[in-house]
Amino acid sequence: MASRTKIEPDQKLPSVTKAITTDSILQFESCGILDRENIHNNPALAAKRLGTTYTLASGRMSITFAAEIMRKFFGPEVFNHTGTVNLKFLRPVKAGDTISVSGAVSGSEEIDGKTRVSVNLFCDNQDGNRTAVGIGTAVVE
Amino acid sequence: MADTELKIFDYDKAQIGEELGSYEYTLTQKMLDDFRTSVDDPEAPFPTLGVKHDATAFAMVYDDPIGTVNAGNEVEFFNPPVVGKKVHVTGRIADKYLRRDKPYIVIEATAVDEDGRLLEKLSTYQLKKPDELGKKWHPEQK
Amino acid sequence: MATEFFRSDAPGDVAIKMTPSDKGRLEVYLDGDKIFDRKEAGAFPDLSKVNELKMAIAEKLFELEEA
Repeated sequence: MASRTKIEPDQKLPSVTKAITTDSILQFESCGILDRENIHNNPALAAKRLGTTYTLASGRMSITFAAEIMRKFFGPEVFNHTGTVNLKFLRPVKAGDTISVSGAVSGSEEIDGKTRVSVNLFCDNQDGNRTAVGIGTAVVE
Repeated sequence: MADTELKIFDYDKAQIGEELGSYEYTLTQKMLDDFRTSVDDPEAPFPTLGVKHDATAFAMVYDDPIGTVNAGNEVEFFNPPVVGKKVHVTGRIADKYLRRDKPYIVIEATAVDEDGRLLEKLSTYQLKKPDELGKKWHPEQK
Repeated sequence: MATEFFRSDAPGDVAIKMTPSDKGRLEVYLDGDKIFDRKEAGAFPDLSKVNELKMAIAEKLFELEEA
């Protein structure tokens, strides 16, 4: 668990690798409260709107993966109450892909007597193509 | 929110600051379990990400025949939600802009539970012309 | 700050130009658009501003990125 004293610039976060399947995409979509069709759960709709022959995994799955490595690095007591994740999605993620999420500390700044730590976040697929990039933060005592 | 007639989404008429649907739901154990299984993380604390608060608020007001692609998400975590408690969500259109002549909107939502605990603030940067992105990812290009 | 940007990701074909000059001037251009000017900002960018600039770059990648 990271605390201010142990956090160094460039420090690597524990990475995770996730296999994306049709089941996991559909199960993620089933967590919602509206029973709606979209480009994640309806191939015909994805084909019509995007011209793709596949449905897309929701970008929020990548957000959740990124939040996982942040939580593991900072600890749930810190991250679940002060954490942020901000990602831009660069490429589609689809069933059959394997997404690896990694991160490294980019710096920190003092705020109200506490330290906000910034992390660069990267999501890459099995071909080494970047599917998302962005920043995470958390505030440590 | 009452079951009202959905409006057809018209990008030009959308207003920055416009309130979207506000709604309530009770977080169930099944929602939490399904979420954790789907993301392969037995301790994932925010199944709210799977509920897609902002997109749900939008979908409660608008029918969007053109559709959207999620260009990015920004989320702030304050307190994990608790199974069995009600979650109250309010949404709004936070921004709207053109980039390289492509239409984007930013929608956001704030979630608070029945005890008044702030859970999560979430925003989504949406490209409201998904076929633009489809041209890049079309099968022939693979 | 330059290492921050280039170390953080492979910007692809997005042109990032940083123009440090004398008297502590620093301007950052992204694909021809000025996204930061120390003179206008009145200070060198702090971490929050650097993060903001990085996300501007990432957003540009979304617009340009070829799959």
